[in-house]
Amino acid sequence: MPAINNKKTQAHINTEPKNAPVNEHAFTGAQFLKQYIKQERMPLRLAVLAGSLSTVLMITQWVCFVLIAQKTIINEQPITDHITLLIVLIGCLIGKSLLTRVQTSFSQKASLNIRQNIRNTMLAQWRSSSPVYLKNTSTGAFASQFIEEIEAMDGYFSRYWPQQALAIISPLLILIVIAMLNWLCAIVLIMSAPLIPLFMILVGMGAERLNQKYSTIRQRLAGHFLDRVSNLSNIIRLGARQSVFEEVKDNSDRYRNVVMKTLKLAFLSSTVLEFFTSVAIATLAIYIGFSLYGAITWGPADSLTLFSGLTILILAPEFFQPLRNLSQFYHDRASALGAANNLVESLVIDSNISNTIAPLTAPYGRPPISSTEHQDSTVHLQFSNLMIGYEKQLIQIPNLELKTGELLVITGDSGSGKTTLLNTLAKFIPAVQGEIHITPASGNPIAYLPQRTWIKNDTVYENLIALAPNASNTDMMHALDKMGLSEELDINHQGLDTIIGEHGKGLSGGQMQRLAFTRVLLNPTPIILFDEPTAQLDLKSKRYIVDALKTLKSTCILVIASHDPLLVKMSDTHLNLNSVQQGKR
Amino acid sequence: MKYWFDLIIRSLGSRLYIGIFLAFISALSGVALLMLSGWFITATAITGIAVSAGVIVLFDMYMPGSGIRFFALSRTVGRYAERIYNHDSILRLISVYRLTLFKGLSTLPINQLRATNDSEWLGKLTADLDALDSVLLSYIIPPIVAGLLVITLTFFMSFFWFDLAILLGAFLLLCVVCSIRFTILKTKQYGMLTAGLLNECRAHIIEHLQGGFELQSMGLMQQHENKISTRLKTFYNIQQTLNSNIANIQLFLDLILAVTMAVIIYIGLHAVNANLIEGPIAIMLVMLILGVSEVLQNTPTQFGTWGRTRYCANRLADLTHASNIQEHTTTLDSLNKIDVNIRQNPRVPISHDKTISFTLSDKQLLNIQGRSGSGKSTIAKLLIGTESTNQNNAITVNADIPLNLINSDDWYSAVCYLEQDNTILAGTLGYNLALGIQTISEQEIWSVLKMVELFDWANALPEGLNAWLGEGGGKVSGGQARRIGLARLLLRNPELAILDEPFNGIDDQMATRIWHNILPWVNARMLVLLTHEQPNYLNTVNEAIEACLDSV
Repeated sequence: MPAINNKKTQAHINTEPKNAPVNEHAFTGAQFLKQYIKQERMPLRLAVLAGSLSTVLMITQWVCFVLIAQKTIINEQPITDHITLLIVLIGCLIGKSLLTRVQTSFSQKASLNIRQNIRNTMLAQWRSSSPVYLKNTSTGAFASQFIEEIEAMDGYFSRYWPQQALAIISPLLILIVIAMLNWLCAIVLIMSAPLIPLFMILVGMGAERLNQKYSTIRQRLAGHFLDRVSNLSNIIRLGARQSVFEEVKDNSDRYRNVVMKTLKLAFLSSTVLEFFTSVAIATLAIYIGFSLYGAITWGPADSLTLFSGLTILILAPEFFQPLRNLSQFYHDRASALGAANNLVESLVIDSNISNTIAPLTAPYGRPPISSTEHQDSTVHLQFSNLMIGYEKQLIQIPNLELKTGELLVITGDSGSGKTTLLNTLAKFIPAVQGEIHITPASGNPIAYLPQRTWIKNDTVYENLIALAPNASNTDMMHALDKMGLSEELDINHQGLDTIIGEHGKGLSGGQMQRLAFTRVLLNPTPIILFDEPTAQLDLKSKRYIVDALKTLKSTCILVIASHDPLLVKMSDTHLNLNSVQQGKR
Repeated sequence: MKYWFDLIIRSLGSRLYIGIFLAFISALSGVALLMLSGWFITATAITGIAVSAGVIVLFDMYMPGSGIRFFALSRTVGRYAERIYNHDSILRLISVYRLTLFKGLSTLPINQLRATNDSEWLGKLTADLDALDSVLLSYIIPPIVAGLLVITLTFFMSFFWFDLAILLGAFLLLCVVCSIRFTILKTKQYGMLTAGLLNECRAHIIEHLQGGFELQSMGLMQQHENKISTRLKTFYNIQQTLNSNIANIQLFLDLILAVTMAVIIYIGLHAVNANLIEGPIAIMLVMLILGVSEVLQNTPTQFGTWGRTRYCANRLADLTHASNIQEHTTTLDSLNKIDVNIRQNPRVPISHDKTISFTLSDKQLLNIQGRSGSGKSTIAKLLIGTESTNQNNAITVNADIPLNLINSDDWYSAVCYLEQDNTILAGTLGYNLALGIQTISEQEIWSVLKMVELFDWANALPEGLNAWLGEGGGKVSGGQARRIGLARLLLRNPELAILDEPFNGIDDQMATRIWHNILPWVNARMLVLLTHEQPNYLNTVNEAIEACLDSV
């Protein structure tokens, strides 16, 4: 009963479902964002609707106000005659504020959901990607993507996207009202509106050119500070502290000069917008004023009254306001797109990888089989015609068979493929050829201790429970005792809540390795893989580790990559990768 | 927070006031444009009716007309100037922030500095520095501008209707103050919480991914995600509270301003009925409220970031305040003897079983051999002072001065260290070599480059010593970087040199040649040579003391 059959066939079988999400993500950043917006279409549309309604209320409000003003100032009627209008006016004022609140809450809800969805996608992606490939990118970079870059998308979803629609709807609504009052004024606004994007594009292009011209120097100056901070200990040792102070100062100034050159031009684009707003208001005010006075008689000037004139004047800035908001939120779009492009890139890479490896046979989150279930059943591990490695380096593994209670030690120079074999056994890399049989067949998890011990910056309890979810506190104390850790870590004092410092600070290499072994003792799997478990250990730790290996050996198959002659002596099978032939496909 | 406010006021000085003035001018022009237009239209409408009714009225059309044009222009120009000027100020501030921070960091004891190599930490540092922008752009300029605007307009309106102007002005000022106070009160805690939670999440994500091998082989990846998911859920909840608090304050402020507007409309028009003021003035009052509302409305959003900024400011303040650490003052004139004793060091496995002890003097050469992980680098770090010494790990200089009492500047001028990792700073080749040396001739640099066999390479570079290395420039190979690091030390004249695997990534033949080239330099000082195994090139020197850290 072959449990893990040839990875190639498995990979093939899984091509279909695995491919689907890949195609889904093989997009540009813009498409990626669109896809998530689709999921939250409802609240976003409601936000736009609320925004549009608030524009309607805003128009109504001003129309009411100007009507009252016309009646009281021109017709000299007492304001108390127009209480109804006044109530409508107050109603509109309040309704408008409420609608803005509704708009905010819808768009923020949508943004929150989208960010949540994207983060879940990332987590799921990591769950199904081989850690061998995840290692290629720094975990810090992934964390930044997960935290900051997704957070930076907030503005795009909650502000920019709704505003995009409102920047068309609101000006149109206003324009219709103005056109009804005075077509000439509407034409003035229509003429200026399309000019704005045109000028903004022109200025933007100029700024872009300037940006490119200075890009190298800008990049260097921007990176200078961080570079010097990260090399600070070296700088101090070289006695260059003072001169680097000067440098940091000078460079910041030079950076400022370069950036200002670009900014001066870049700000012009929003100034264009400001300029048109101001000029349009001024032109309209003067035109209306002169018409009302009677100095202008051509066009629809005669039809102007205080009512229509004042309405137009008040609505004119509101006509430009949505556009101004949009340009204010424009950088939200830029940063979201940048983040999305990064994300798509890393997700696509991950997806390609998960394509090439067999899916992990253990269903996620399933509690590992406890060791007692396996005590009576013997497990067999068999390599047949196994060839492992990558394109450049292929390694033919001799046929081997191991059963519970046996220890296989793999030796060989660095680079000979020891870790590759372990990774293949752990199903992180597909076998190139041949098969690994495990009987009895079951989706057994395999405990794997890589060369670099994984220690969480957390309590001892959290460190153990992460890999032994079913262990009780008593089990833990017992196992820690067995590895000689309870006394050394003063665990008796604070119990399992003893905190282990960042990057295992405060623990020696030996203690970290022993903690990792404690996890394995608490949750042994039928097959256990170790990568150099005794390297860099003090004698005391080594004694504990060797004892633990002996304990584990009675109930498990142990596969150890190691240089240690002591372990080679303990082994039942010794595989020297230096002497195997480098295979060819 | 106060620290950063002080720093801004101190370092910007008059720039701050000019920036505020420009922002004020552009805000005032905006409101004035609205007010004057409103007044103008109403006034012309009334006059127009009077004229058509045959009444002869004297009305100057052109004065207000040019006023409108002037304000339209001054608003645009003012806004542009204000943005340019204040961004320039921000960039100046960044420069000040950076220098303050850099000085703060550089006075940290060097053994705390190793964390600074952490790229993740650097990312946080940048983010924190960026967050400080809002101190000037959101917390200083806008409220002051709003206050000035209200005061100026009150003054102006008091000519027309004194009581109302004073009342209105006081009320609007109260609105500004209250909305700021209220926003900070209702958001500060949540802002700090969200910033903290995100930070925790980031640490958890890093741990989660680092544990990928163990977790995935056991099928426990999803189970381990729980902690991240819980944190994120809390984060989303708190962020939602934060956002809805800001939005509620916004709603509240909007409502107050709306009611104010309604009241002013009623009072103004009622006063027109009662002939207390003229129609155009009433309209101007309403326009004033409209213009001022637009300025005041932004307060909740601007101050909603207070908590987050405070969180960042606190973290940075810890780093900038580090400068108070006392510097050890024992001076060191010359270095002629070093005693090293290492016992029970967790990073030097062999020291658990026996004490490592050696003495170095008289331009001796000590070769310490050991596999990776045997503690070579730890010994080097103890010697250089990166790792702090204690009673188990004692280093004594000139027979009687403990190393930890020696002034660090003195120590660093007496000792130099070639780390195991190559460090190339973003800068030119010449800069990288001469870093920290006051005067040096180009000839010396070239002769050193010749010793490490980089002469031909450097000579072939189009820009020679001015060629840019490191980030944003051409990359050097590992072997070249190694030799540049070595050349950097060769330009100096320390009494003790510590070389950690100096020929890493360099083939044996070249290593032997370079060793031969630098022998005069080697022989002129005490030298600690840390290597993996017995180096071939050492055959040329007989007097090397050898020590091995590997357990048999």
